[in-house]
Amino acid sequence: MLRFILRRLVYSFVVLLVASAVTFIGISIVADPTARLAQNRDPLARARMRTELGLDQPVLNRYGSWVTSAATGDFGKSWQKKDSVIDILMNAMKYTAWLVIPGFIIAAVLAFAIGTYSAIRQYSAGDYFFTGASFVGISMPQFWFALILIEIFVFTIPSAFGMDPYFRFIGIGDTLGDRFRYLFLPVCVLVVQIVAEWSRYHRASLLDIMPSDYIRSAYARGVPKRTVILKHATKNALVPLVVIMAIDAGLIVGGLVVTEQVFSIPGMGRVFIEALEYGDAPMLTAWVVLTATAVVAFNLLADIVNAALDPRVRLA
Amino acid sequence: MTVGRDFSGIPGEDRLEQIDPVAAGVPTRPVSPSPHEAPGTHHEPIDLSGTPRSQWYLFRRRFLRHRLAITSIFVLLLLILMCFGAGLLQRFTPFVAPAGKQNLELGAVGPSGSHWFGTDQLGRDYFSEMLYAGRTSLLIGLVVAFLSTVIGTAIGAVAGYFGGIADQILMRLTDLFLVLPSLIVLALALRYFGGSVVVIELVLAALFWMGLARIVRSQVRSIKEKEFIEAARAGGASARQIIVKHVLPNCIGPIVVAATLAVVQAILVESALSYLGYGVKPPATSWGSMLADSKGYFGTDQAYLIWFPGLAILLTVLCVNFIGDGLRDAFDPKSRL
Amino acid sequence: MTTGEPILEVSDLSVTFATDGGPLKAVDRLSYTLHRGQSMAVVGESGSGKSVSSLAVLGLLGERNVTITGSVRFDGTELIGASERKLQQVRGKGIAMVFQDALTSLNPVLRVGNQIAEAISVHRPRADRDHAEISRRVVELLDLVGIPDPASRAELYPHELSGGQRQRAMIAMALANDPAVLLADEPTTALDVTIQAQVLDVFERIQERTDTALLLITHDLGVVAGVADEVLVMYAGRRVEQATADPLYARPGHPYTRGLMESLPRLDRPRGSKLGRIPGQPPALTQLPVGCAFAPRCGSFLVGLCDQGEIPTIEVAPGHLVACVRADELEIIGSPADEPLERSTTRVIDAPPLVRVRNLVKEFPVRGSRDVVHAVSDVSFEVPAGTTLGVVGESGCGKSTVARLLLRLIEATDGSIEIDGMDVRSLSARDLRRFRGVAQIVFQDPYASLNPRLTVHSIVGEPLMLAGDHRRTVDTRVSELLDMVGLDPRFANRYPHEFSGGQRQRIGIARALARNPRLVVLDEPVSALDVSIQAGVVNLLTDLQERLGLTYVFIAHDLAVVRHISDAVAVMYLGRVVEHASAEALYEQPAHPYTQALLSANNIPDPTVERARRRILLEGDVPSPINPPSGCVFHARCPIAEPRCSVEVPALVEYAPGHRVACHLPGPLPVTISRR
Repeated sequence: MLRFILRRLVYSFVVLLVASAVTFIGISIVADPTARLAQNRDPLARARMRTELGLDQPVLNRYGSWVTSAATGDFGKSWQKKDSVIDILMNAMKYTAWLVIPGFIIAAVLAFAIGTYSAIRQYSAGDYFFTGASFVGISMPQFWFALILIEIFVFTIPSAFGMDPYFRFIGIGDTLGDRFRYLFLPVCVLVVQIVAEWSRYHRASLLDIMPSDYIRSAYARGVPKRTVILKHATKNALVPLVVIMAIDAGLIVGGLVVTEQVFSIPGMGRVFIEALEYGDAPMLTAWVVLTATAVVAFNLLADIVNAALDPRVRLA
Repeated sequence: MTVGRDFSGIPGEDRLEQIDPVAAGVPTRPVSPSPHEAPGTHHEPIDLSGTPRSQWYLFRRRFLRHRLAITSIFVLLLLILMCFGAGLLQRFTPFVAPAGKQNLELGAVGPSGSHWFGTDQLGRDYFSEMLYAGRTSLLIGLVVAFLSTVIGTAIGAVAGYFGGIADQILMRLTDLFLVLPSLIVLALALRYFGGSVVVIELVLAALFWMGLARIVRSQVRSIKEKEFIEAARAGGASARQIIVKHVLPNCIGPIVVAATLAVVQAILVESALSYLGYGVKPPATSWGSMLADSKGYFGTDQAYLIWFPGLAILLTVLCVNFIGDGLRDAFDPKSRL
Repeated sequence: MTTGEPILEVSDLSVTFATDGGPLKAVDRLSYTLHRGQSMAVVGESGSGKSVSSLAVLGLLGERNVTITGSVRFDGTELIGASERKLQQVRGKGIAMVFQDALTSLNPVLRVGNQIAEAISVHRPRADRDHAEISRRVVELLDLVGIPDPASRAELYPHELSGGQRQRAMIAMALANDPAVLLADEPTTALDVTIQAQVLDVFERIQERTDTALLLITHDLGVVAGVADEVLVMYAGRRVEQATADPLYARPGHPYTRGLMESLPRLDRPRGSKLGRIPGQPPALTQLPVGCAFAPRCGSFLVGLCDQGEIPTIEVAPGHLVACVRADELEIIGSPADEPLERSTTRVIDAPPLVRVRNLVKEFPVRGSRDVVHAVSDVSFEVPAGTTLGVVGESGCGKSTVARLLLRLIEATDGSIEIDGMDVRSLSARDLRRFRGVAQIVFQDPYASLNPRLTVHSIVGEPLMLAGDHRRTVDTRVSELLDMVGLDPRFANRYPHEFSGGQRQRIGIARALARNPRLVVLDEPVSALDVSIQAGVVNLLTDLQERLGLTYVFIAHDLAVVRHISDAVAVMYLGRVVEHASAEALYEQPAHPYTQALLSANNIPDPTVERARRRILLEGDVPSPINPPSGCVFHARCPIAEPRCSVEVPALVEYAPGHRVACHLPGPLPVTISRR
């Protein structure tokens, strides 16, 4: 197992390196942070900024020096915000975490419950309802769903009842007590999308497992139906489900960009957008490295979990 | 000496008889246990008295049972016709206004008899704008899916059949792009190359082909082991002939399903990109860019500006998803995703 | 032997499935009675309804689209229509079931001991579940079925056990609560022959020591002869015959049973006789003919009699029931006289060898480790032109690998292969194309060996089109080939899924013959077919060989079939040839201990012979080709192994003229080795 992890870490490191290179060089070619000074009153301001940011050096050199300082843990300062890149990222992570962690937990529980229910009561009204809802859930643009939720919960319904809106849609709130009002809508957006995917997957897994020979054997030795489903079938179905949950966990950070935009949450998504707009190479590259690391870490976790849960899997 | 005729014209039940473990050294073949004799839905009874029934026929029969998928096809076709035929509709019917025709005095007005979806800030008929924008969104979806499918299938088939360098490169590339958020790559590329529709299509396709290639690769790898492939090799077929004639036709199912998913992805991603400002640029419009323009209007009387484009996307993607579901079921009735 | 009072009474059991093609009657008014301590076999081929009927007894068919009528009384309690609760109490306690494939029938993510313990605890009230005591019982059960080191085996997962051990674990699980009835559905079909013998031995011991009634469901008439007191034959969902074992085998009453008996190649009959066969296929269960279901295939069919109304069940002798209108009239003859030889048994063995293999080696690397699978190690043999070499062996012996090496579908690691003068391993591209017209192969699986998307015409004609033949030539040739294999050429534009298994094999044979090869390698060509269909295909093969002067390498694990069709036989074990002799010599005077064990593990479909026979049981499982034992590969399981055997690899040397053996101690095994 240890060899496997080590090999994977080495390999991932290389991938991270390549990813950082692609990002750094990419943004450097694509965006010029000094462009905004083109019409500046001071004709030399632009040139000064160029030297300040080291933009007169060739791209590869710049990347090289970025890598060497990054290797020592110094990811530099954001060109736009002037603060330490790491500080900015940590701060942003805090906000994103408030969105992602509750969302994930709720989604996991819901998806498991809905998937199981749908599989057991296949073809029932409930099953059709959830299946339909899932289809709608995966067919909507996430940001549009966010806008609609805001429209409904903050405007339409309260004004129909002549009340003040309860839910908020800007930021995550200041005090702990406020969190619920602020997080409810964005977390809803997140949860609906994830649950739609996971519950369908779990349902399909269970439906695939139910006619299996070993399920039939369990019935044949007198195991009651409930135990068959909750112990035998679910144990087998959980393995692939947990794996995709782990993988999705890694991907989620990069995918929240648009939702954070809509709800004006100053999380990782906002950081990304701003850095991209500005052409802030050190910021953007560090952002990519961080999210890529999350993906790698969670993929590794997924493989380990898979091997732990399924005795047939040997880590190669 | 006559060899007795085995064929007696009597319909017989097509069943998988017991297969004993094959003593292959390696690769070992999985042992298929005799299925309980409950009717297997994937074996059709033999009736050699009728017309030849190809797999295509069976597929059609299974697909036509999916009312939802059939309805979706019609709805989608209707959408496509309306959007792509908007120009004609505009010339020959009063329902559709010329593209971009503004009416600044009117401003944004809610849905009414003369403007079914209302008007936007510049007084343009929203319904007509949606049709023109739909052209772009749908076009992008279809073209991207087509391109990525073609490229993905070609590369995936080579990687899956031959392994070796092609396979390694494919795997490493997909690993890399798994780690890089696609939004980044797309945003960067679009920033650099500009936001024309063609560029968007190419850039999206350049990202999507990898997912398809992996699916094709895994399909090819599993089919490669089947005995009829060995038989073809024993008959003298070359690798190319085998891939084209034997392997790919048996992979069509998952490829087509994946292609529909690519359409879905393309439309959704394009709308997200346009919303962020990296996608379609004026004067071209897409449903996503319409949403970008209208995003500030929630809570106002003009909220309908947000509803309609989103609903259009939802409807389109929903239809494609249903079709994909029906296709998946028709190709492989055993899978229940 | 039949003892106590009736424990399971099945009356008029019918099972109908609702399918797209209409109602499918899988079981039609089946009736039988099982007594305490009795062992009854339910025999039938695919589609006979034997498995469905046993699943129906325990209510394991689910509820959707199934209609079950009739009565099944277990110990006085009615099971059909009983509540789930009631059924649950009977399952695993009163009636226990053993399934065919232990690998898929055991939950892969739970330990074996855990699952057996569950079988026990599920039938005890919550208060009475002492884990320690149950664990002890689990170990006890595993020991009872002969699993070595049971305590540690219980901690393993199903895929970590060998096939034989898994099956035994399933039996242990079934016995956990001392059931009155044990239902075994094809319990040995998926196992190697020598392992099968071990498992059957377990069943025998259970029968001796307990009064558990055994209901054995199988298609293998040889297994039945050794195990069952009473036999029930099913066809198209109906019972067609029932009797105690001896009269059934000696004087089968129903034409179907007779047809089955005649189509079996038997180890105790003279070679070279043509196999009887039953023409046609079993009927589609959605479109059963009126009257007797077997009538369309029956040689004694009488219009107006056999195709009308209800077919009565006639008692032709006490306890011997036959569901045939003509049962009384038809001559109940003894075992059918063997038809005169239709082909020369005195083949020209002196013909020059068409195939010459020398020191063939094939090793496969194992992914992710430095291990190597020694699939084929130092194999040498020759096949004279126009003759058949049978190659037998169990899983992992390398015979399928040899088949593929001969055809150059995989590359050998070392050694030489010469076919029709061509050095197969070093063929140029052009010669390779020529070679493809000289040597061909027929595969085992009739379902996977034909491209489902191509018409039969394309499939059979492909080798010709690849060789560049004209369209019209191809068309004529395809019709010719289909005719040669007994298929109507008019159906060349059909698709494989529209044909039955036996017909598909014939299509595969037609494809192999397309370019008039000299050598045809057959890799288990009939293993996946029903017995009555097998006979037809085997006859076809022997006819074709006669007509076209073909040379065959016939690979199989069924010794009786191999003996029937082969001139010479090579026995393989773990990648090596351990014995190679003429068919007569091998079957009459086997010299290698493994060959003798293999032969003795084969069941003869004759109860009197089976009862009197002594069996050689091998210990343990077939070892893995990744780590073959040192010295003689067989020494670990050999009943007469000496220290020398684990050190020195025995060479394949001449033991008698034309008879080679790789053993340090060749010769008949002492009688003391075997047991009753």
